[in-house]
Amino acid sequence: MREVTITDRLSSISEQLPYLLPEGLVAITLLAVVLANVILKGKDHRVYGWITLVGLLIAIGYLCFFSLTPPSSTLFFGLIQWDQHSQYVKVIALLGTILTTLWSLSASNEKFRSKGEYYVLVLGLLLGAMFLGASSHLLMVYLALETLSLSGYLATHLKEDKRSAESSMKYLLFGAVSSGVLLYSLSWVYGVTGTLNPLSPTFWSQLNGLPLLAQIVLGLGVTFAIAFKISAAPAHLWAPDVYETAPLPLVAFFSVVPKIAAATLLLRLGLVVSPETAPGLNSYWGTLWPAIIVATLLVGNLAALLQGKAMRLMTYSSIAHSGFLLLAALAAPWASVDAFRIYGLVYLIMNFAAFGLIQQLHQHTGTDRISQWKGWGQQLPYPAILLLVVMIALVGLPPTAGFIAKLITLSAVFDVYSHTESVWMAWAGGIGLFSTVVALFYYLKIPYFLFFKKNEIFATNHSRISYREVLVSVLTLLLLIGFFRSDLMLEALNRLF
Amino acid sequence: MEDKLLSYLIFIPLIAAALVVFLPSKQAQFARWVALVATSLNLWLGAGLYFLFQGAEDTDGLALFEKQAWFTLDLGGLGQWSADYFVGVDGISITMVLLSVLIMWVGVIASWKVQTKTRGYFALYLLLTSSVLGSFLALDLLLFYLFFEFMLLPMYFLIGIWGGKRREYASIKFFLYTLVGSLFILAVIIGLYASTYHPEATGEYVGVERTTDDALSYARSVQEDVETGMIAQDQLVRKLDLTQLPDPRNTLVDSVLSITNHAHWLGWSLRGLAFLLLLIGFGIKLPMVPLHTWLPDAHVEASTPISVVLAGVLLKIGGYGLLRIAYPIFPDAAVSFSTWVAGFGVLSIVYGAYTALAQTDLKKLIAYSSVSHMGFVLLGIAALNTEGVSGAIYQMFSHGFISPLLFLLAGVLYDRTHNRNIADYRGLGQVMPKYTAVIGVAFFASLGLPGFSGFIAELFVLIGAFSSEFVPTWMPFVALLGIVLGAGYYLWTLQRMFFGPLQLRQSSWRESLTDLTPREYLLTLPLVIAALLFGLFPQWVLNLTNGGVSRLIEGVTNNQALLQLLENL
Repeated sequence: MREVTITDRLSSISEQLPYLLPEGLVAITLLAVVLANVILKGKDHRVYGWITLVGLLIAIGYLCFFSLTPPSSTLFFGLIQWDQHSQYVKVIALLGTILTTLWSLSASNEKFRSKGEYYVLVLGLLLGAMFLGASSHLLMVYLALETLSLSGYLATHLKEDKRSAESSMKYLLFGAVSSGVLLYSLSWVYGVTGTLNPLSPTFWSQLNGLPLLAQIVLGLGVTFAIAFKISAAPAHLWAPDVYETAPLPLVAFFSVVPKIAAATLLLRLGLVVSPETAPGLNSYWGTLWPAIIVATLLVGNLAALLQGKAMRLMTYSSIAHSGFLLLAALAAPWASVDAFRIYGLVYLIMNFAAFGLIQQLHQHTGTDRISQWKGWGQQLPYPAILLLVVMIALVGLPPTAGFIAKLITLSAVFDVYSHTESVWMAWAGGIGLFSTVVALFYYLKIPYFLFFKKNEIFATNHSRISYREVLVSVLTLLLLIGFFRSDLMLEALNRLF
Repeated sequence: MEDKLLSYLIFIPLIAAALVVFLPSKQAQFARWVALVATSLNLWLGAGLYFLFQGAEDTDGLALFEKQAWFTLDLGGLGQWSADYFVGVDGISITMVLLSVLIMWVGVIASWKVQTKTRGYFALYLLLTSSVLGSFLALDLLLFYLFFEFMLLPMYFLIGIWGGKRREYASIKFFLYTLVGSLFILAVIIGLYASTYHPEATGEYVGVERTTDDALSYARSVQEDVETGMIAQDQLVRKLDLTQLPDPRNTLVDSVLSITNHAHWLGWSLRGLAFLLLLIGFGIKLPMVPLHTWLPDAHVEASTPISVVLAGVLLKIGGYGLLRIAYPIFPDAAVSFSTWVAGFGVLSIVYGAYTALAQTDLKKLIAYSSVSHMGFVLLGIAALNTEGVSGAIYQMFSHGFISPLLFLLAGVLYDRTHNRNIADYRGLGQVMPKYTAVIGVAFFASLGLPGFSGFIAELFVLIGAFSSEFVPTWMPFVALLGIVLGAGYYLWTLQRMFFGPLQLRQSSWRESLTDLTPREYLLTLPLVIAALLFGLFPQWVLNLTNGGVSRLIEGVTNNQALLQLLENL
């Protein structure tokens, strides 16, 4: 075997660099915003948002239409993977960020929208998510998670008030613990196996030599890190506070993009933790994750029942949806990756529409306490009806794409169950199905107050139709189209990769 | 015209709903005219359907159908998922479709006086109309489910916004109960997608050559290819075509819902479990005791026209679902569960009647009598012979006239005094003789007096149950007790409220208690006449249903035998 020299490595890196052009474009955009900030001497200006938007549009355009396919799916010596999953996460993350940016730009009388650092942090989050979805190499996972977390800590404190300081501190402490645990277990893994790449053959042969208990303890570090990012129970405690205090467009971003990236990591690990490679760990993997999913579904749905504020309701709802996302990701290696992809895409659309509409109602009514929204359905019929459709989608009822997403996900789970006869999987699927009843109860609370209750006193402050209204209309329409022509949705996803 | 007639039935109300939504607020009062025109058109189309159906009766299976590809999803390991826009009408559904167009039309006239949020009301009402017809016409299970679920939302709002005092409680209870039921059905749909395939579509997808024009022999050749493994699992097209699903050969041998799968869950075989899920799902809708508790609340709180629609049409989807989905697809489980189904039917009959005896609210009394009458539907279906199933369909049809009539008449009283308490009235016959006459006839029709449609229905059900091998003989005897109780509560109510000297709880009601108005005659008399006509000329209905019922029973029996054969292989 010929020795690999430094020059070989360098030339191989430079050959592979073009395949990372989308990430590169995001990084360039990030630098451009920083530079603009410097030129404008740190003054607030909307130009940061526009630069971000243009950069993101170029990146997604490149990704969708000009992307090069590398000869091998493994790039940079196993650090980066270029496959359908990574492409999917990139597209979803870019879409989410574009929506966030559009929305931030239209958010009137909010301080953060013309701050340069806000966009820098959003782009940083995006970069982290893109890399997280493109790797199962544990070193790369760690780096991507840190990129996400560090940007996240700062972004939650953008409002600079006392409550956001508290929540950002909470987030930081949770994040620090989770990354500490991850790093600690990674150092052990490296010590035992001599590599951090689960795709390399030595990784598993060495790891399987360990006692099972040690394997499980090491696996828990990774599990906890994913659970933290996706705010799965019991690592969800930071989410409600962060969601309540962070700028709203960012909350929508938080509730979707990092979750899909982290779920993709679970999918990748699920692909490698197979009965052949990891005979011991595999069965625990197949028990632990369904257990986490069941806990997440229960915590999310039951806690959402108790919420009186729309934003907090959405927080717990998005925890409940994390459960579904994880379920789809867990089932994907056995059954069908399409379930995961469709669920992720539909979830992105639903959540952005829901957050957008809730903010609109919040602006009109001056409160996000749901019981204060009574009778507003008469006053604001259009957003109220849109919100009804979105809520129906979030429950997962026809005729919305939410139904198709849930149906396919549960079918994938059912398929896994019928092949593996895993009781845990059956329970997770069953609880997922019947959590819909609970979900209906709390999601309908909002239309219930909007339409059923009467209220005479209205503090009307009608504003003109903003393009955010157009945005949420389009998203809601997509939810309906996604039901009636779910084949188009899948075709669009398939055509990209 | 003919080939698109079924679509018109579904889409005319839908388009009308859209029109109503976009009416300018000044023209809101035209909403009711739009609704009337749309439902009248449907009524007319329904009449056309009736004649077309008679002409096409002898063709096997569907007298009329439309089929269009809806979507196909290539889901990798899960195979090809497909669904069609497939609607059709046969002997099982024709009576339900005719009933729906009539009752939905009656409902519009009964809603004429709705004043608050008129546009919203009629838009939701038309959406409901469209989804009700869709449910009865759909022959693709996923399409059926779409319409089935889509009934919930308009109904939720119709009860919750235009209802009585406790409308919010009643509407959310209705929604949650029915949603639980439909999730049970969804679980079975997922199981069916995983376990079955569509032979014709699979053959076309894989490119199996057609040697004959005969669809059946083509399907057989594809089934053979699948059995021998010539067609791989991931090439199967999974489509829940309700005309194909009953064929046991379309269920994959090693799948979850295969008859040879001996896995058990809490002592149930998985096929038995699937049937049970469907029974609960449709049983909630029907409603079947003990899953009925949402119904009295919903009826009491709903406004009169919504009660009419709920009792007249919506409950029937439960019984229809059992006949169209549960029994044909799981004949083996249906046979082994039939004693239970019949038992629940008898329980509903007796419990509903007993509870009706104790009611103080006139509307609640009618609601419990509905529970009791729907029990006959279960008993008839469980008998699984021509008499029983025809009787069950006849009961659904007949109850579809009589219960709306009763709710309309209860509404007449409520409109005048805003009180429905039975004990608050006495001797109403003195001031409202015509009303008393009509309600007396309605009570007799409902308790099953010979000469009215209810009698024929119950007679058929009982004959079916007595001669059925699946129903123990004591059960129809107990059901007879239910009829006696029915006579009891109706006659007692008649005596308490309408006979004797006039006594009212508030003397101020005296002036408002006027007799029936022309509009109320228009609403009630056609229904009285229908109850009478279908009691005197049962062949009008039976001629429509006979073909479908005998095909259904033949299919269930054959497929059950085939399944037994497959199981013992």
